[in-house]
Amino acid sequence: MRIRVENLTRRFGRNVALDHVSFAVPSGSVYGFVGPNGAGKTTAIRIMAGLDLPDSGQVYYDDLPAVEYPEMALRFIGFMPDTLADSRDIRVWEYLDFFARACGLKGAEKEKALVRVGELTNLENLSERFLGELSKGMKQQVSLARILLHEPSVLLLDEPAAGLDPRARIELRQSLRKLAFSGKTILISSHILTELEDLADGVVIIEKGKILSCGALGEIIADRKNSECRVLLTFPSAAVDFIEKLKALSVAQTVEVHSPRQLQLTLASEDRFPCAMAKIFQSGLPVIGMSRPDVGLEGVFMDKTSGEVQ
Amino acid sequence: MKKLAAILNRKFSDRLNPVWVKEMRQMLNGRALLGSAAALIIAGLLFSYLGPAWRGLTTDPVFFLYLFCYWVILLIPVLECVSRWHYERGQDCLTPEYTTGLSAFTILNGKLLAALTSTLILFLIGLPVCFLFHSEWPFIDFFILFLPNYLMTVTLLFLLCLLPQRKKTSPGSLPDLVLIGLLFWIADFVLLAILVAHSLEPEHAPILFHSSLLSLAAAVECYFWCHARLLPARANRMLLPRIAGLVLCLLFIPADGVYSFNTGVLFSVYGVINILAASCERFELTERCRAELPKKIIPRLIVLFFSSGAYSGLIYGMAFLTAGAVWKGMETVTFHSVCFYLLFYALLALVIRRWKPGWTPWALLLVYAFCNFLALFNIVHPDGWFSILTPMNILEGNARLIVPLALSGAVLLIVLIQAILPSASRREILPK
Repeated sequence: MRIRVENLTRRFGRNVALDHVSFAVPSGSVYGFVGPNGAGKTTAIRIMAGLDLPDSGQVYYDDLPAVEYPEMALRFIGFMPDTLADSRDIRVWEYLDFFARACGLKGAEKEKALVRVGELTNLENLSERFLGELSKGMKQQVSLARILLHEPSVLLLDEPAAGLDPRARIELRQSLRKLAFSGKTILISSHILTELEDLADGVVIIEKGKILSCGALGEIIADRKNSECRVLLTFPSAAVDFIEKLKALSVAQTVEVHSPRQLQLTLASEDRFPCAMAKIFQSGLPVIGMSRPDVGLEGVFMDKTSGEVQ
Repeated sequence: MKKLAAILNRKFSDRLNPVWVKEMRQMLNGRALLGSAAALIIAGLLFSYLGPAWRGLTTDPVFFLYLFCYWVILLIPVLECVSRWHYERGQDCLTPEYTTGLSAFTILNGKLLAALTSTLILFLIGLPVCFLFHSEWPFIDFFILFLPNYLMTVTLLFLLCLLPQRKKTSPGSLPDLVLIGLLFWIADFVLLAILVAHSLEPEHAPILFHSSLLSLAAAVECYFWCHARLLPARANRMLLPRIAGLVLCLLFIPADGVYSFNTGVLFSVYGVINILAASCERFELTERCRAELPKKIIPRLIVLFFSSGAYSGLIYGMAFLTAGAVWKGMETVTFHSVCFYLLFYALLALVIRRWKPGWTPWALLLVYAFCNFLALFNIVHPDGWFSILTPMNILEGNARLIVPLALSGAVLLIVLIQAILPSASRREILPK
């Protein structure tokens, strides 16, 4: 199912949270929704989930106008807020059972759905625990399980990994990766760009309520090809010892120490990267790791945004 | 045993309201319901044992003490529900519920039934002791008949206060507050009227009957307002509450057509509630509402009369106010003058809102009302030129003529406005 957002505007008093926001997410793809704090991500996602009303604009799921008919759109959407609210005196299985009923599942079909989401989100051992007793990571897994019960075609995830410890984050990422392969259209709002990069086919970058960039990740990265390219090389011992050797290869404009075991190379352009790497590896330098801080979502994000908050 | 429970659960619970099942599970997992039931059983046993022992003195103090405990304990699960809803509202727990396919009726009925079920369980537990004292105290029937009605009204009021609406749009928070205030007033009035009627004169029985009906009608109307809060923002939210309001008010017209003070007042109060609510609503109908209007002119006008939107709400409220004032109700001039004051201010609010949105209209209106109040009561004589700023003197002069004229003028205006609005088709909005 394709998501199309057209000219969304939302004001809170004098503050314009969304200013004619338009973007599209193709059917079956995973898109990252990134921006600094206060950029308008949550506002946009809440409107897309039918929980808030724009001052103007429309959200379409295929051709269904979700602002006018949220109850119809909700049949196809799974919305996961950034935190799962604490409901009092309710066990995990009771909570999921309620949402399964709320989605119209009955009898064996309901039991099957509960088992399926339990397995996908590793909740089998938590079913008898009360919701209030769970850690934040566990709650996020419950929240994810909840939105998967009715097998929605579109998932809207608002900061799913916010505040999670490394283990919970890895588990959540694994669950999301499984979902990414299932052909659902997923929009993930997140601050953790490196993790998003593993999952996302595309990205929507928003700042101060305006869309700065939107499209497939490859296309957005390709737009930056003509700018200079930075490469970080990691060595097993002190990086200073290898500066002269690298300079002698004449592959980079500059070679600088980035950290005790890392050197940063600046290449004139993106096109020179394959040739430079081939030369370095042929020279027999003991390089044990290589990364490119500019390329990828992080680089694009830093390039596009100014970090200003409304 | 577990297998049997699982089979029963699979067979029957899937057919039940999911919100009710969830709320009942929460209630059973908590301590309030079980604790209250235990307390009631202990109190019942204790009073049954002590009652005959104290009979040498008098039964009334024992029974009153039991009734007091009974009422307090009955309120515990309702308060527990309210406390949980308040907590869930603070935690934004209802957001996930709103993103499911649950209808507004399912959410509302589930929550209401859960609160009432727990109260009913406790009510039934405590009932045998009431019957034990039945022969000694003649008013027991009244308590048994009145209590569920009263509790339902109170529960509905709490529901209205605590259930967050889906969007911050019409009906806004001010109409809700107005409604809550008025319904609390009605509930208090009913309680007092019934107590007074029972303890003093037997010929006051019609008041008891009328007041009970009024309380029930208020609860029903309150239910539909709660329902409206849970509908999608662009839907025709006010359609059901307004249809229900009309039907309920018509039920209060005496069969012989003889003027009844209560009926006139009821019409006017309900009219004022709707006018105040309308002054906060959005002006135009949403695209969705317009798409769902009938195409033919007569049904279209009828549906418009009940629809969401400031203009429709204003006409609807004015119709009730006019009915209350004209239908032999002008004996209560002061009361209706106050009602028309409110209508006047609501109209003014709408006019200023058209000119400037946000909080400015309300601030201007407040300043105007305050100055007007000072001018009328402290500066000039009521017959002075300042009095033309208020509708009081106009009304007192020739009310029967002015009111229908104002009403017909407003109706004409709204019809014109609605007629020039472009009409969208539902089929044009929705995909095939």
